[in-house]
Amino acid sequence: MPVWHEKTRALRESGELVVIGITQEQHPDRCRLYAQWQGIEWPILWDPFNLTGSAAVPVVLAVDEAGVISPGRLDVRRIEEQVVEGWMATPPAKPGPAARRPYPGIVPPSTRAAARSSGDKAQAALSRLLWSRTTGEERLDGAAYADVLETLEKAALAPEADPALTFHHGVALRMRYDSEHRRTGDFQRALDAWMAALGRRPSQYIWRRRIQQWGPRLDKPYPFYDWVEEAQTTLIAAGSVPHPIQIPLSGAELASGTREIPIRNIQNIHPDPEAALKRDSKHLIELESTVCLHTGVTSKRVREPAGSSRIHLVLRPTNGAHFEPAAGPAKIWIDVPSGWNTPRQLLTATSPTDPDAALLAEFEVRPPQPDLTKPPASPTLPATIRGTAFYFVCEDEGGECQFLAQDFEILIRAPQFDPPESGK
Amino acid sequence: MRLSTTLALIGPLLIESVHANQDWSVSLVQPGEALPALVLPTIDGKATVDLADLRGKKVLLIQFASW
Repeated sequence: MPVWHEKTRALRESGELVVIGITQEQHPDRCRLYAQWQGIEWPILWDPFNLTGSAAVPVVLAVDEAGVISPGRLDVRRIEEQVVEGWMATPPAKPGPAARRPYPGIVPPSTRAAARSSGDKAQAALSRLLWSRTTGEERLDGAAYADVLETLEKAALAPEADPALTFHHGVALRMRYDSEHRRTGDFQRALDAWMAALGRRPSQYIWRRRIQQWGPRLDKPYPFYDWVEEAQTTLIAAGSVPHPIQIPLSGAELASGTREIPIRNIQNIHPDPEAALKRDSKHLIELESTVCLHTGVTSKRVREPAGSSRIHLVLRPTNGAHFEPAAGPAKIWIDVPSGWNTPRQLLTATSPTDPDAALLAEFEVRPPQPDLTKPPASPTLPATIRGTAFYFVCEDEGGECQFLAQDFEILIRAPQFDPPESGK
Repeated sequence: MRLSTTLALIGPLLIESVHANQDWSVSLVQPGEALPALVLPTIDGKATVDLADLRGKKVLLIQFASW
């Protein structure tokens, strides 16, 4: 995008051309930092539900004075020929038919008379979510989130529902997961919804990328947000205050892609082989696991074995408990099924700099590689990953602090989705 | 050469091919058609833009992601 920014500067400054960006990212703050870093001056709109319906990005569209989208692909390398000498000098086309608009009433709730009158509950729910971060609009509380999520789920499950509604439901679930009204399982349900939508429409690359953002390195077309640190450093060095990243970046969002998961060659030592450490019977720490499958499971054309995934663990203090930062980070031991691979068995969670903050850990697993010269073996899913988390936790202010362990199981299931749409 | 190796090598090319042949059939912004009247917030949450309000101007609409 910086190239487009530079190449259109003269036309923008002369008032002959308006440039508008649209980003389909889940988190707008990241694009805001990117725009600040790159010095992008034109407005960028936030479309996390992909209401424009684009199948992939980047896409650059030329729209004339009559509002008609010019046919043909624009190529930044031919901008002089295509835009400056060509399209800019062309009179507006005869207005064509309006594009299909499944949600004509996606407008700010404060001006939502049209949405209310349409009676489309899913549309109204999307409006409330989309505008909930906008100045002057309604902030959603726990009850409001529950209400809009129930509405979107019903819409997605209706007979003949467009799979876009299932994607929208997933976006809404992840929004609640990032809010103070989070419910355990929201992130997993979001990923399940996105995978179900992608299974119906495998050519939808906006949806595919939303999963891959948190997915295994084997499924990454590129690192998603590895530029963030450089952007922050550059801006600070230039005397600017970088726009804040509201939702911390996960390891998956920084990781680069790979073609081979490293074969386990580190002989880790189990911290508690006899299971002698006291278990967390009071559930001072909630352990939430989320499995992000390789998107290849939606297509039989990809020979990645079903079950290849990245697993996100969150250790969250409950009931007034808190971590003790001086005790060091929590450790997690992982046991994978026979034949499965994971790079290391002993993981270190993020350090508890804030006693009340959750700790995060991520790891990847891969089932046995299929032998393509032989008939398909028995399915690898469902499969169970077993493990134990070890942490130093204090019960409450002035309460007892102790090392505790918590055993857990993570079930990796095959995704559930209806057959792909024909021709999609 | 094993099939899996071949797929690993040509996979990125297949992905790029999909990008080059974007499926427009479900997009609201279709070449040759009028831009829909979609209202979206700006990424800083401070303003709104109605795409229909851009009539009368030459506009480049750039859909992108920071990744």
